[in-house]
Amino acid sequence: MKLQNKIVYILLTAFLGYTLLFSGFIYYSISRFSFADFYKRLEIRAITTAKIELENPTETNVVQQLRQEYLEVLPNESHLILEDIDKSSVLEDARLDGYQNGFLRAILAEGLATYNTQNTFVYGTLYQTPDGREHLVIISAENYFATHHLAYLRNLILTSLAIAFLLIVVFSVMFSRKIIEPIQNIIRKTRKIGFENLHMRLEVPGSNDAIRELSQTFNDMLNRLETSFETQKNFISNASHELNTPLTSIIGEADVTLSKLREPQEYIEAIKAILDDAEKLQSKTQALLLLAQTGFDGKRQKFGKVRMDQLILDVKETVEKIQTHSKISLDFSLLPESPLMLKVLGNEQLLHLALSNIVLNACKYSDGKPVNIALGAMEGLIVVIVKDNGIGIPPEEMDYIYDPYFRASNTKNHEGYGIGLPLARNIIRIHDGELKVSSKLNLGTTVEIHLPRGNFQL
Amino acid sequence: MAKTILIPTDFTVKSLNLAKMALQKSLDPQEKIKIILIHGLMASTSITELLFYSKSRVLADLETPEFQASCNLLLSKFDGKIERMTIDIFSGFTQAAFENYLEANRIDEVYLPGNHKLKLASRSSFDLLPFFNKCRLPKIKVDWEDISISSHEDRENAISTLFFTRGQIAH
Repeated sequence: MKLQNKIVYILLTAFLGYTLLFSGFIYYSISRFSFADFYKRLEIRAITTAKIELENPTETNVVQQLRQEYLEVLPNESHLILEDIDKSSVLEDARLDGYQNGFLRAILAEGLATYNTQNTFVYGTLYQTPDGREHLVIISAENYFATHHLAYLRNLILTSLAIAFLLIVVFSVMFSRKIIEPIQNIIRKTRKIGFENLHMRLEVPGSNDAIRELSQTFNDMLNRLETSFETQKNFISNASHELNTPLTSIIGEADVTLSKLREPQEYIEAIKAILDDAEKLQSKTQALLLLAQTGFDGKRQKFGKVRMDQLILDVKETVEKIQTHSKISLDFSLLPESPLMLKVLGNEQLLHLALSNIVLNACKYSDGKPVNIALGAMEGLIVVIVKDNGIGIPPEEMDYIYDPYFRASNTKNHEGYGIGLPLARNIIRIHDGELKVSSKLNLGTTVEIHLPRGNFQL
Repeated sequence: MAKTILIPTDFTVKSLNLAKMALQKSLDPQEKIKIILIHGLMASTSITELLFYSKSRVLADLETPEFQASCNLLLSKFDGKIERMTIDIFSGFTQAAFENYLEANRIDEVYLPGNHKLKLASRSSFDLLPFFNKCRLPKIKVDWEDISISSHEDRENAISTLFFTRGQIAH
């Protein structure tokens, strides 16, 4: 069953059950009350009638007057008085033929009894005059209230039940739709995300509820997926490129050497060159292997204490090794006094990878112009700013800079794969941080990294 | 005894460089500094507006998140040096009112920017520098320049504008 229908049914049963119970209770208690009330009225009439007819008429003048003045005549009211009855033989009396036997017996046994057929209510009692004689008084009348008012009440309740049913159906359908809608949105969005657009994320709603948690969990999962995906891609493309260069030179060297017979000295030189390249190849494979082993062995990355100032110095060193002509200047002028404020809970290899990617990009696209790195800390946050004076990013392409393999239109003269920035952003995201890029074409790019401070004690 | 310094601000991160220079200048580790960042803002002429006037709300409107973040950066950097850092609004029109303000807040020194022009943060803002220039307290002029060659941000509000500057105090 669809979840929406389920919600509708549950709401319908709950609300309908409640209204049915409620209106049933009201109908039952009102009709009970009207019956009891009517019998009470009949009782008063029976006693007054008996008093008027059986006792001294002169004394009962007042009672008769009262009765005529204050007791309204009930519809179809009639009464029967059997004077001075003999309890054993009274049942054979022909005047009692119209009444139920059980009712008559109940009067004789208990002194009073009531019953009703359709709308006619009958009240019977034994009346004892002061001289000790017993009389049977039976009074009957039509209950106008029961016939008309109760029917009206019943109709009223039924119509209101019908209206309530309609209202509940409309309400529960709307309610269930409202509940289901964000989930269906998530489903629709998640369906769109596939291997080729893994960078897409679900919208996180502003309200603080389970839906928000759900989409955040999805996004976190996507972050992790994308990062590992792209690291692997990055790794493969880097590896193949790096390995290809020495291999080509080995093959070329061997090819040239084998093209004709040579002097032993030439062979020695050629083999030396090949050995040189092979050694380079080996050191590269070892480095790649190390890269693959650190962090991305399929297990969850280990998070530990990372000091950001140390990390930045390491990154600077690494970048200067790779891009020998780069000028990197550090601005630690706003370094906080307490070293605790510089510690991030994170994975050093990953953060190093992210930061060095950003700094490498900055150096690559600024053609030897200086690149500035600054570090500062504020309440619970650590800010790293990487600012270059390079070629910048065209403003209309800013939206795509996090798409893997996207390269801005002005980067044709620079080698690259378009993986560094998305990878860096994912690593920052894994650390609950934020990466902001602002850029002016041909003037430079500023990258701001915000990382939450780790909760460490001295 | 802490020294109280008055620094004009226009609620851009760039103008906070003045505070940064002032803090960097005081080398004596024992010395504590109270900083008052001040902005000239004309008070409203409407009675109802004045009735519900709240300085904190006015300040909250003017402060950008970047400005607050940068203040935070300064506070954590000079944690031991800053005794207190407050942001205030000055609404006086005369030099006497300004002198009064200086006296009431026991200001010891005023800082003013040399080559950097402060902006007017809102429509009712006005320039405080004439008051600063005329006051009788020791004045310290600070020049600074962006060392990241092209100051390509016309966004003066990026946190990065607090960095990569080289300051110079012109006495």
